[in-house]
Amino acid sequence: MSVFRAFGHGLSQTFRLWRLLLPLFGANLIVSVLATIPVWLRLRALIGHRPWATTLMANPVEFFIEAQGALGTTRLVESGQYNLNWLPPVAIFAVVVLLANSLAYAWLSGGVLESLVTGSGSFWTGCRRWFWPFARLWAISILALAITLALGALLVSRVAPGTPWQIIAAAILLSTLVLGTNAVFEYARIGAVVRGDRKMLRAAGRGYGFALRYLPQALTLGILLLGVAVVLAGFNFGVSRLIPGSFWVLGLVWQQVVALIGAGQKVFRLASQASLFAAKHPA
Amino acid sequence: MPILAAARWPVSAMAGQARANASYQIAVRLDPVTKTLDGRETITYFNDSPDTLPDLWLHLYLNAFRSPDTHWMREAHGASRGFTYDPARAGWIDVTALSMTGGIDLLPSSAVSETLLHVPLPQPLRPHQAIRLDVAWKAQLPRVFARTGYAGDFVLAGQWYPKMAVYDRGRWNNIQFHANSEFFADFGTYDVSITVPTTHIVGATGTRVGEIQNSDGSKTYRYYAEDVTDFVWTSSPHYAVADRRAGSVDIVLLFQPEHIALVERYLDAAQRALESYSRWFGPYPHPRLTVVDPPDDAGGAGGMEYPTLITVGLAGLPDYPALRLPEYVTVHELAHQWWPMMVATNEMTEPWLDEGFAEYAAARWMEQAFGRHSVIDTRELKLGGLEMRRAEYIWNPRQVRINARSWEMKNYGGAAYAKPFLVLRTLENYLGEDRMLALMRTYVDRWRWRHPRTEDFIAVANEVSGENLDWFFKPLVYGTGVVDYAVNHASTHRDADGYTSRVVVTRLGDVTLPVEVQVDFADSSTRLERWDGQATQKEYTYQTAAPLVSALADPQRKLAVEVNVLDNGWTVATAEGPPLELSGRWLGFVQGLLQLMGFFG
Repeated sequence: MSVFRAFGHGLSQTFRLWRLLLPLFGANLIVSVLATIPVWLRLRALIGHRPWATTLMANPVEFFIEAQGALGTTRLVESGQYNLNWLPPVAIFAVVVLLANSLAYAWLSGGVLESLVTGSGSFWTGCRRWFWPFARLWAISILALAITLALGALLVSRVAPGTPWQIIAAAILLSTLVLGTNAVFEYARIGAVVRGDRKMLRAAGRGYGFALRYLPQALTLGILLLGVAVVLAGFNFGVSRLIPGSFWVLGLVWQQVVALIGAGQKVFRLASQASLFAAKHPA
Repeated sequence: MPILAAARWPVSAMAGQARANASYQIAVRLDPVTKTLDGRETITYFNDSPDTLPDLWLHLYLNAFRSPDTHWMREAHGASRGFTYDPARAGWIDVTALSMTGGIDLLPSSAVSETLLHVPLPQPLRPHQAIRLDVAWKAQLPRVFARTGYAGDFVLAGQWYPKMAVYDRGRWNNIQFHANSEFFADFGTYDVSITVPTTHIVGATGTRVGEIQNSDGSKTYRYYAEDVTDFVWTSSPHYAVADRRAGSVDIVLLFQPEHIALVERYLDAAQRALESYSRWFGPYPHPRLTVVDPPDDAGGAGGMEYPTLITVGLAGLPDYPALRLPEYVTVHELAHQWWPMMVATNEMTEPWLDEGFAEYAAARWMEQAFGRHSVIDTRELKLGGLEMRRAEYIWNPRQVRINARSWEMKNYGGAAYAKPFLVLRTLENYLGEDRMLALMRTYVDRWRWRHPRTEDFIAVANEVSGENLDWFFKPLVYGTGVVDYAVNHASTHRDADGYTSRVVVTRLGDVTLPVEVQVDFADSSTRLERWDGQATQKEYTYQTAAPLVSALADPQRKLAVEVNVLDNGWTVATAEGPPLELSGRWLGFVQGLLQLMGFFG
């Protein structure tokens, strides 16, 4: 199967199995709402009684607000009368949110891949079957990413970029390392499901092996998928610009459409990569 | 006799509207390869002080860029306006001959100290006597840096010749050229001949009165200017020219062909602002205004004012109408034709008197032309002149003292531009527009062609306003105190007679300015209270038929200089909409972020 056939097959599978988008979207929304509630309560206490502030904060945001906020922070820091008691709970909360997000994905990706690979597998059975292996794989992927970025940063620091072009090149290098590592571990998940292999270190090795052995194909597919993401991001940005600032509820609705499209992209990427993997390594 | 008798002097000293204390006849040749200048000048200096002067002082500004060890370089840490000093392409000026006309050689007894030249006189210059000096010099222009220099074929020659210092109120202004410092000079007439390659297009202070094609392939342009404190010129083979007329004034724009999209914007702004300023502050006194748009690799030459010539230019900026920095820079630099080009304040020791005033005029014009969001008016970001300058001031308001020497300011932008503008805007809101414009016009009328100081402006303000404004100027101009009011309590409760409501306004700052407080009730009735701000707190109670809705200090934002306006109001009921709206935007941000994080793995 060529890369373009894998791409087309992934697209048709995404439309055919569109219901897979919903749990991904729902999990994203639930975790995000949980992360928003404390912010809403704090904002309500801070500006709920300040008509001047609320008027000025109405969309579009004025530069003035940012400056005034920065002033408040600067003054607080300069006065030394601040306390950082809020920092530990906020940090813990942020870690909990990120962990919940990752575990939700570890849970749901098993179901998504089971449906994509087997075609008839039960989504929820797949979720249950692959949750713990994929949670372990996620931990391995974080470690692998940290090592990869550290090596990349070391390389960049040796070159010591000074000109804007060198800085851009360094940024592209580091971004490529992140995207590449991500692709490797997506192939690792896919390989695990295709082979029914619950050994995640072996799955990670298989991911690296596949990506290296079929580098031109994997790279081409990655670029195609990245192109789709860029086009959709441009579309989302363009539509959001058309929504008047005062129609903030409409803006909120559009945000949900964007999140749904984001979930669709995830399924599309997994489906295309699974097609390529299955073509090269039939179960 | 080289020192000229007083009786022969007044006719030429009053050639223009100003008394010509320091006049120059200059001939200069540009070497287009080395970017050196060979110049000769005759300076005619008239001592109009009551003092006898045993010596003279001249500025050699280009020497600020001679090495990394100068005052200027040390203070600027070798960088200015985003451009880094290149020691391999330094700037300097060497005086090679100095004598009294037809007489004594003064060079052996004179002494150069970095950017100053001290010239002891063989006999003192008595009051109302004049002296003529013949000077020859060689100068190297730096790679464009801090308003002067070259970039490729482009040349902007600013502060390029030996220039008389000012003797004012009993002392010479013999101050080294500092970073964050501009200039100070007497008025005079300039008769300047500039020789450049034939291919170059030239712009300069004043009016072109002649040109000669030389046999060596160069061309000499002669310019003449009266009532000016300086002379600048520019040349480049790449300039394109556009022009416009504003009343009787010819506006000439020298621009880079690649910036053609900005031409109409520059010209529109220059023409309309020149007309407005002439109406507001008094007429522009010269027949010509030259606007120079430097190339992108000479950004350090942009955004600068000289007599009858301003530089604009924002390297690489697209022609995006909602981003009005081209207009803003143009009208700011143009306002300098009033301060300090006409009202010639000392930019070194009191920079607020020119930068702050130019900022006040520019922001005023921009708001009238483009509305509240005059500087940036995109969908995503709004920015007006008031907020732009507030942002610069409020970072460290307690370190911003307006009346300070430029090189001693801790926040030059805040002290020379931002706070002065905010103070003048607050004064306008206090006096009213008509009285403020009357004050500015009277100040220009009274001090045109002279060297006023801060106290002179305050004296005019007191006179025109008809009241002693020391309570306003002392803390805001001479002090570092801040203006800040807050409404921290507003409550209402029902009783037998209707509703009893209570509002508490607090003065958080140490500067006391009168402030208005608007109190709104549920039946749409409003009370406007006026508090003198003298106490630290003021409490208002009301017995009304309708409950209190909100209280707002300074509802019209008359106190432009106030440091924090977010706490100026309080509503009795919690407003649910804005927190929800902001939370909704936060939700979208988090969703995107989590998808990005979920993208991994």
